[in-house]
Amino acid sequence: MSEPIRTIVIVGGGCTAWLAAATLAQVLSPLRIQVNVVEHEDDTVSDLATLPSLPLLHRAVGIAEPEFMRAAGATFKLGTEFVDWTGPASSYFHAHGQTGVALEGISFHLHWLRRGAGAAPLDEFALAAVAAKLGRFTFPAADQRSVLSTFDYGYHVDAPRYADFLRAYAGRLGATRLQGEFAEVLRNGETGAVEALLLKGGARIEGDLFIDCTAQGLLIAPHSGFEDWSQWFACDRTVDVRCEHQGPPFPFESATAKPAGWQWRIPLQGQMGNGYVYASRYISDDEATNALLASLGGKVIGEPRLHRFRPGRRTETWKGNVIALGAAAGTLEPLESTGLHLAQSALLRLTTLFPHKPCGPAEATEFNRLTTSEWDRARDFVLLHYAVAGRKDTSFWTANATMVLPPLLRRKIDMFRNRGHVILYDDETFETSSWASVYIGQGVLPRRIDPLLENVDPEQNARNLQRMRSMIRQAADSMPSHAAMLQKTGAMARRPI
Amino acid sequence: MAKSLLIAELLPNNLVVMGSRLDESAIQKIVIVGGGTAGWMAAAALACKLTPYRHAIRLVESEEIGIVGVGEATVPHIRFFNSTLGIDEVDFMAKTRATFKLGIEFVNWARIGDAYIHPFGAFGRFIGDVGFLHHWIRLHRMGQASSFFDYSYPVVAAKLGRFTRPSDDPRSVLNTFSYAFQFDATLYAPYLRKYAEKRGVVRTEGKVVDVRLRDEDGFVEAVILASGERVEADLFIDCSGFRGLIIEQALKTGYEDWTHWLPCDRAVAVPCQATEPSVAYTRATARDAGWQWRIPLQHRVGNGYVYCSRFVSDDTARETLLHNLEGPALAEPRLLRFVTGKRKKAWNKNCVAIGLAGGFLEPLESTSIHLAQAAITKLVELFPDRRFDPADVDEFNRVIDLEYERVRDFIVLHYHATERNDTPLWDYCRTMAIPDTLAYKMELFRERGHVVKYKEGLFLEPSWHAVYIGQRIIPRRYDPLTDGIAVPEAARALQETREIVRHAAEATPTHSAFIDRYCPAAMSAA
Repeated sequence: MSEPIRTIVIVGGGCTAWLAAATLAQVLSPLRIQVNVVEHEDDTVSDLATLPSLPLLHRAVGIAEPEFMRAAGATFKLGTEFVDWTGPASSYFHAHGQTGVALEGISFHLHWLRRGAGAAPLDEFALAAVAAKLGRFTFPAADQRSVLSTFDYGYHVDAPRYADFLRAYAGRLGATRLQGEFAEVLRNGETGAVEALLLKGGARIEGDLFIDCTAQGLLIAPHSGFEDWSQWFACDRTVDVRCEHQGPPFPFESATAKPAGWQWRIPLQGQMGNGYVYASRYISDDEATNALLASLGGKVIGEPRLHRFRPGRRTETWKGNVIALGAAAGTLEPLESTGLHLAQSALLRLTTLFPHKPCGPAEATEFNRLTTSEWDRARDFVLLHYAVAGRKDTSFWTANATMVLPPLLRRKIDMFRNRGHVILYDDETFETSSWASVYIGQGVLPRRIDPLLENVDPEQNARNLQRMRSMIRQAADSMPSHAAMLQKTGAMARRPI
Repeated sequence: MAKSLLIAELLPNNLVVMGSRLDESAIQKIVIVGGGTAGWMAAAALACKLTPYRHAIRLVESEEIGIVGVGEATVPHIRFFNSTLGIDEVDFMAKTRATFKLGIEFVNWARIGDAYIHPFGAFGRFIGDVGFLHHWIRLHRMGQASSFFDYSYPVVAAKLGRFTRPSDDPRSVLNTFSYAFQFDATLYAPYLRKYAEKRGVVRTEGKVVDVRLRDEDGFVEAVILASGERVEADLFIDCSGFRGLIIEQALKTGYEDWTHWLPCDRAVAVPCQATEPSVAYTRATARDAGWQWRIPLQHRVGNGYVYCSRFVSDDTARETLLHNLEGPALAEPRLLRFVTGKRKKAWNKNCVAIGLAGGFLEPLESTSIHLAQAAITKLVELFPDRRFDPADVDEFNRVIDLEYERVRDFIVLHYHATERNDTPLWDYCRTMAIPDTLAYKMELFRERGHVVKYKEGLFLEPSWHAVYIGQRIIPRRYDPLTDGIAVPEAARALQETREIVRHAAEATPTHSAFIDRYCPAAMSAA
C-alpha cells in the first residue's frame, strides 16, 4: 500500500546538505513535507566555483542573487582559464555559454578549424572568455537575437558562508535543523529500510526518506559499492588557503597545471581562494603545502587546510530509502566545477522521480541509471584534460599520458582527432562548445577538414570570422567592469570579509 | 550601443565560393545503387550538402525493378529534411499530391471497439511544474476528467477533419503541435530526382548483376551492370531494397531478425477511390492477423493490410483488404514480402545501406522514410574520406542502431499492450517476451507514469503517453507532487484546456478546404 512521504531527514553539513534542504523545502512545500536536517561536520574545501546551472536553481528556489552574493562573498564566473596544461605559459579558456555562432547548421569550431593561417585563437570567439580577460561582466541578454545572449555565467563562492546562507534560507522555508550528532542508523529488520537515526544522547529521528550528504557517506556506504577511479585520477588530496588580493576580482577561475596536480585560484570578494589538488603518491603534504604558499599572489590569510578524498563514485546512490548526494555519492576533482552541479542535478532528478512510501525499486533504478551515466560522462570530460595534456615533465604527467582510457572517452578523442567531430552521448553535462574548447585549447587538432566545409574558401571564411571576432570584442567592450557590476547589483558585502 | 550586435549580421549569405576542389584522400566517386525514395533522397541530400562532391555522384537504377512505394505517411522530421534541402513545401505537396498529417488513429488495438489518435503534439500543459498526465490520472480516478485525448488540439482537430498550420505564438494552443505529410511516395522519388540531377547527379539506367570486391581488404571495388559496364567508386550507397545487393549479397553483413517481436511478414496494398473529403490523419485498424492502413491523399486513398503469413493465407488477406475498402479499387493489389529487422551493420567497409537495404520496420508509425533520412543525415555529418576511418563507421552504426531499436520498441508496444485474445496473432503478441529495453520502459510507466527519455529517440514523451493511455495502460501510481495542487484547481485547469482545445478545433478550417487553398495537386502533372 503506497502512502505519501511525510518526512525527509537530511544528514550532513555544508553547501550540499543545505542546498538540498532549501530545494526540497521549496519544491515540496505544497505537499507539506517536513524537511529536517541532522547537521554533521562537513569536511570539504572552502572555495567553490559553480556552473551556470546554479543561478537557475536559485531562481527556482526563490533565492535573490544580490542577497546570496553578499552573504557568500561571491563573484561572477565566466569560465575557467587553463594554464600550463600543454607546456609552460600555455593557456586557453573554457568559457560558459557558446563559442562563436553555428553557421549553416555546422558547429562553429569546424568553421574555426577551416580558418586561414594567422587567424585568432578560438578563445577570441567566446564572448565569456573575451569579457573575462577584460575584467568585464554583465548579465546575458534575454533577446536571443543579440550576441549578448550567447554567453552564460556561474559563481565563485566562499563555501562555509554559502552554507550558512543556505541554512538560514532553508530555515525560512520551513526546514528544521535538529540538535545533536548522528550516531547510528536504525533499520527495519524485514525490509532493510531506514526507520530512524539515533543521535548521541539517545534522540531518535524518524523519517520516510533519508538524504545522505555526509562526506563519508555514512548512510549509503554500507549498502552500496564504490567504483574507484584512481587508475585515471591520481589526485587524492587538496590543500587550500586564502590570501589577500589587491585590485578588482577576476570574473573567472584559473586552473594551473603543476608537477603533481593542479592549482586553483578562485576569486572571492576581497580575497583569493587558492588550492592545490595533488597526488599523494607523487608529492608529500608538506611539499604540496609549501608549493601552494610559494605561489600566492598576496599575503596569506589563516592556515592551510588539508583534505583527503577518494576519486570515484558509488555504484548506487539511491538504495532503499536512502539517497546520497555530493561527497556521499562520490568525488570528481573540481577541475570543471562539477561538484555542486552533480548534487543539484541529482536533487532535481529526485523531484521528478519522487517516491511514495515504501520506496519501491522503480524510481530508484531509473534514478541510479541516470545518475551513474551523468557521473561517468562528467568524469570523462575532466579526464580529457589529463588524457590530452602535452606535458611529460614529471612522473605524474607521464602516467597521465599513458593511462588506458574508458572506451567511450577513447572513441570521443579518436573522432575529434580524425575530423573534429564531437560525439555526445546521453546525460552529458558539457556541450559541443565545451569539448571543442578543451580539445583545441590543448592542441588536439583534427587530421582532416570535415567534408561539409571542404567547399569553404579559407580566406572568405577568415573574413567572416574576423567580423564575428570584432562583434564579440565590441560586445565585451560594451560591458561594465566586473567590479562595477558587483557594486551596481548590490552583490558586494558591506563589510570586508 | 552605436552599432547593433545582432547574430543575424554574422551569418553570411553564402559561404560557398569555390567549385570542386577535392583533396587526394577525399572520396572521388560515389555510386548509389537503386532509385526509389531512399536512393533519390540520398542523392539529393549529398548533392545539396556536400557540394564539392555533387559531380562525383552517380545513381544506378533500373526501370525494370519495381519500386516498393505503396502510399506513405511520414513524421514531422521530413519537414526539416526538406527545408535543409531548400525544398518549398507548397511545391512539394502539390507535386506529390500530399495531404497533411496530424497523427495516426489506432482502431481495435487494445480491445475491439477502441479507437485513439496518437498526435504530433502535446497533451494539456504543466500545472504547477507537474506534467499533465499525472493530473489527468488523479482526476480520472475521481471521475473528474474526460478522455485523455480530449486535451489534445491535434487529436480533436484531426477527428473533426480540420487542419491549419501551427502558430508561433507560445501562448496559443496552436503552438503545441506539429505536422507531417501523407503523400504518393512514387512521386517523391521523381521529385527528388529532378532536384538531384539539376545539381549534378548523374543517373544511369541499368541493373546491377554483380559486385566486385578488392582482394586485399574486401572493400567494394565496382558494380557490374547487365550491359557489361563496370561502375567503379570509392563509396557505395546501397539503396537496392530488401535484396541488399551490396551490403548483404556481396559483403554478407548479416541481418538481425526481429520476427519474434514483430511477426508480420507480408503486406498487400491497393489504392482506392476516396468517398469523402481528405482528413489529416492516417488510420491503422487492427485486424485478425495484422492491421490495415488507410492513408488519404489528395487524389485517392492508399490502403494496405500488413499481416503475418503464419496466421492468414495471402488469398484471405487480399480478400480482407478488398472487402474493407471505402470505394472501388483503382489497381490490382500488390503483394510485398519482408523480414522485420535490421542489417547488423548499416555501414560496412565502404558500403552504407540506406532504406530497405538497411532494415525494415512495418509502417505502423510511419517511420520508414524517417529511418532512411536519419541515416542520410548521419552520413553527411560523418562523411568519410578514402581511409574510411573505423571511428566514423562505428559512430554511424551506433547511432543508427539506437534509432532502429527505439522505433522497434515503440512499435512492439502497440502489439504487446493488447487485451485481445480473439485470434492467434493477438494471443501471441499479448504473451510474447519483449525486448528488455521495452520491458524496462513499460514497467517504469506502469508503476509510476514515468517515460524514459533519451538523447537520440524519435518518439518523445507525449507519443508514449498517447499509446500507453490509448491502449489502456494506466499507471498504478502517479507523481506525488501532483497532490500539491488542490483538486478543484486542477479540475478547473483541465476543463479550461478541454474547452480551449474544442473551440480552437471547431474554428479551424476543414482539411480539404485548406489543401485546396494552399497546395492543390496539379492533376495533370506526373
